[in-house]
Amino acid sequence: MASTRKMKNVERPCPDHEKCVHIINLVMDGEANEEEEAFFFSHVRDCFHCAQFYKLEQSIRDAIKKKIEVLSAPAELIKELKKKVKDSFQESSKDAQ
Amino acid sequence: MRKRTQPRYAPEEKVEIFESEFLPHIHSIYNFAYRITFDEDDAKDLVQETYLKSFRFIDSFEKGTNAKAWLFRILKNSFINEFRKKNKEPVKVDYQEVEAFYNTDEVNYIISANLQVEAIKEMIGDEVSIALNSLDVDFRTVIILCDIEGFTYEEMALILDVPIGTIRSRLHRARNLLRDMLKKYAGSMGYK
Repeated sequence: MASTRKMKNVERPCPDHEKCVHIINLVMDGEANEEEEAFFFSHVRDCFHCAQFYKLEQSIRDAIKKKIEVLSAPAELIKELKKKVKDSFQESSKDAQ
Repeated sequence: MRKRTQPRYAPEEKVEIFESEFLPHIHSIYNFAYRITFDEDDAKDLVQETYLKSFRFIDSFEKGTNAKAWLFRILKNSFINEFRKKNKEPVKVDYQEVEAFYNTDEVNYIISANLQVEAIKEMIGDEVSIALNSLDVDFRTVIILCDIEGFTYEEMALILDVPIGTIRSRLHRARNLLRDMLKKYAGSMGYK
């Protein structure tokens, strides 16, 4: 996005913002088709309102990815699961014999 | 879950699949379990149940396919069947109220958007977590699956057993609500 480029309609709300929000989210989620991507790049570059929405959404996604602690499974839980699977394997091996 | 009459894998192979394809996802599974239950013991129970079921029904899993999505689907079913029913129904959010806010506050939104971006960048993890945790579990789930776990809409539809259209609309609502929560925090930080 050309941030230095002068945008049109700086203070006028986007007339089709609802559609744009939908497409911006699809693009950001990697789910947009070629037509939607083309619309995104042509429109968001020139629409101040949608560009602001895009920046805000990007900052929220970044915050979720980078600032929320990702918890790890406790070691004893993994150990216990492995033991249960091993026990189950031994039982099924006995049954097979 | 599809039932098979003939075992697909030998016992040794089952253990190998369990360890090489299922266990590598245990941290994601635990993180998700905790984020939907908010309780360490419940999360542990849910993960244990998920993994033991995955082993029990391993013959219905095709080796080399999407184990992570398969495990998340088992977890979601276990959560609905075993955990969710014992708790109270979550508080419902008035979506119309939130949507009305967005429709009437467009101009202020533009003016303050830059400041909100700065505020969100300055937020610490706890504030973002609190905002995410305040969402109804169905909305929290799609945000976690999409933004933290990186699932596609199609995978989320499979995991949650709903049409892709439902995923899109649920994500849209979830993002609106999350944005609203973060805006409130931004306001409390002096970014108005």
